Amino acid sequence: MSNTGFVGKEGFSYWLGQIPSVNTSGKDSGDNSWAKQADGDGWGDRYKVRILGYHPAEESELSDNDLPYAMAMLPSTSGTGAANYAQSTRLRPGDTVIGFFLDGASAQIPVIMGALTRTANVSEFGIPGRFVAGSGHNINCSDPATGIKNPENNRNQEGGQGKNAQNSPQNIKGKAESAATGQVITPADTCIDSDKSFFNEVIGVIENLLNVTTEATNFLGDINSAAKKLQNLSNGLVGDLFSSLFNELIPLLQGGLQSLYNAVYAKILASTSNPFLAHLAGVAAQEAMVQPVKTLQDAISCVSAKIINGLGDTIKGLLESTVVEVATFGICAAEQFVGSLLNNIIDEIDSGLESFIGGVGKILSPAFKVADFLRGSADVAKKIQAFFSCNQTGDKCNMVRTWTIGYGPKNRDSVLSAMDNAFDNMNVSKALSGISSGTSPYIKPDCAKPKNCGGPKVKFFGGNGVGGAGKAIMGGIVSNTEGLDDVVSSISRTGSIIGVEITDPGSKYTYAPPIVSFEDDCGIGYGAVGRAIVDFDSNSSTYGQITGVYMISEGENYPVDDDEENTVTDTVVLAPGIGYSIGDTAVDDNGNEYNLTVENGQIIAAQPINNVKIDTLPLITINSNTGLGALIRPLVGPYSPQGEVVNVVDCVS
Amino acid sequence: MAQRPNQNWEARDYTNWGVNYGLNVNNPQMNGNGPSVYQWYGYTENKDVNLSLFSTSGMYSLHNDRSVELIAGAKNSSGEIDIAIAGVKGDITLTCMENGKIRIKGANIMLESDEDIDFVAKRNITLKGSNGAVTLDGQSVNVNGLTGNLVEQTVGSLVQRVFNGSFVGLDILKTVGAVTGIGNIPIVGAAVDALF
Repeated sequence: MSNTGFVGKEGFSYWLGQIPSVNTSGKDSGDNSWAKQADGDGWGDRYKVRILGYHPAEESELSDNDLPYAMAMLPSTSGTGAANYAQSTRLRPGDTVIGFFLDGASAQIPVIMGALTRTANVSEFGIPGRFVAGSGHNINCSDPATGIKNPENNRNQEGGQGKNAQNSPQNIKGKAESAATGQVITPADTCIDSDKSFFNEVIGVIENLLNVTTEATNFLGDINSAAKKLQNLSNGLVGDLFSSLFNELIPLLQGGLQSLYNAVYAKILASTSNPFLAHLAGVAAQEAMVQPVKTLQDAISCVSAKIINGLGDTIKGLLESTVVEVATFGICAAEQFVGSLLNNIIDEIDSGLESFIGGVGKILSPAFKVADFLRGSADVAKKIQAFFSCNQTGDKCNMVRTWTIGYGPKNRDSVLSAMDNAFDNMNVSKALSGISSGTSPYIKPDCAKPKNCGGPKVKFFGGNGVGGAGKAIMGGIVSNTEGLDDVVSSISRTGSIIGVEITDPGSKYTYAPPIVSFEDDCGIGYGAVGRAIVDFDSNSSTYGQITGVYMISEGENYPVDDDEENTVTDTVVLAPGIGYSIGDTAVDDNGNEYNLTVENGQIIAAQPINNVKIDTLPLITINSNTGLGALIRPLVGPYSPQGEVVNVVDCVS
Repeated sequence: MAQRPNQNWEARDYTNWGVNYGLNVNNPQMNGNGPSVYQWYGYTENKDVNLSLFSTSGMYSLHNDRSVELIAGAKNSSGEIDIAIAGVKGDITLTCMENGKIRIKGANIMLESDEDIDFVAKRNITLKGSNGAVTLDGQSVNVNGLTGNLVEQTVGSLVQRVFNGSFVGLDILKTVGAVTGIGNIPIVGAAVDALF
């Protein structure tokens, strides 16, 4: 510091340099230097540096170990460590740094002022040469996303401090990466019938299985876990099938007992002509059936438990077929899976009860077949007496039945009608192939691997009303998307959802609007979020109806089935703000202008003035010198050209 | 995967503290709930993720690939609330997605609802009061089933219902153990009446 040829007196000697590989240098040289630094034994934050024009580029001429140290200069916001105000310096090997010599032309005391940011030209493979920027990863700072340590991959391929400069987990296929993202939650639901509950749960379990198996984790463990879950879930269905079966058997056995009595009575009476003896014989015949009926009763719990325990391998076989054959586990595939599983369950019940049913053969018609009875009705499970009393309905059962982690509520209302198809499919698959363990359940064409995604479907559910339907309005369409052929070959374009055209407004939404969801059959779109607008004005002709949907996020990657020309048809004022003046205006980034209605400084309405075609979700900006806080969202609908003005009628004069 | 055009990278801001932890603000890349307002990421060398995500849709997600501890109240007194979890308008769901158990334990457990409480198990439901009573009290208390001593006293077991109207009496059914009864309590009720 005694050198008087310092900055500001004899010029400013700045330099560019590079921090060499940490393997030989870094923040401090020598073993355990980082620990020393942490303990306060170091020399401040300093780095070895190879300076352009002062140091040769070749290691053979000047090794990294022999390079001088440069002290790092800190910004005033970082703190130096005094009173525990501090931040780490974050320079890494391979960084290009800029600095100056504290001792001017003597050039012995370099100070690092800062670093130059990176570009797309940064090497992905370590530090390939001196004065060539490198990734900065090393054995102490490996990239956990890739596991690469050395040579490093800087994952900076898109340029500088750009899209992927953050090495931590990134958005992958629309999901913020965590192990649970994309998994389906099926919360408790005592409202729907057990068969529909089973169906809904099966879809969730298999979607989750497909989700994790695509990430190549513990395949066998995942299959076993899913099989165990389905096995447990089967308890409810098996129990209901048993209840249905035995409730059917009771009157049949009663009738059989009476027939047995009649037959024995008639036979003995014919041989003895003694009604009393005939009666005793008939009673004895009935009494002889007590033990077989009791044995049948005792079989209820033990046979059902055996059936559940025996389902494991069957379910595993079905799951393995599913993982191999199914690309998108939709309702269609679920119908076949459940149909096949039902076949197996019914076969097991049939064989499990065979001997017990045989024991009551004297009082049960030989025409009665357990399997035929269970398969004979598409709604056998519905025959079960509802346990809940009649007043347990209404709002209680109006709820979200499925939730996808990272995506939110999912509409599964269609599941409620799909179970019937599973029963139908059960009979079809049985007839076609005689389903047995290990046989693929997927016999319907284009079911496991759809050929056509169609467009995204708008679904309304929840809220306190009924119904509602809409058509997704597409924008931001991208053609020939990379990798799309892997999903379905017939789709060549994807896009975002910029609005919803209401085709059925629904009804009776009096205080809670429905949830809006967007789903495509191939499950490739993500991120669209919309909110329903409901007319809560009881004096309005559209009271309780869905009048529109405004988009919070347009999402991306939704398959485009057809696209039409669109425009802003209306707006919704989400926040009226304060301080606005009559004469304030609003425009959007598509060139639409809006007529604002201002009352008491608040914007209460905004009407689009012109009729401009749009392709992306407009962002509305309010021009005001006085107001603030208002938020207006556009409602997008089909574009229709304004017709030519034929005649103007002057109603004033 | 095709990202949408016109993404706003201008507003994006991020800070990384090395390779294991970072904050990403206004990342325009699309998540399942729209782009994120912010994402906090922790990432271990074993690829376990901790994620705190606030999305454009308004949804806040807190994920952890391994266990989460939420402990409170070490310095509170008995009777204070250590943890309060409340849903303001919607439902609260608690789900073990695979084969896990939900275990709740306390000196006393209170379940109260403004309308209904449903207990549904796909296998067994057990109510046991070890040193006290099990009480069922309601305007209407009903039993349904195919076997069991309560069923025998009320709607009748499978055996009872099958032999209802036959010439086989309760004494015979008891003799072979087809009706068990409840202790020494006489078997009475509609099901029994129907047998005589």
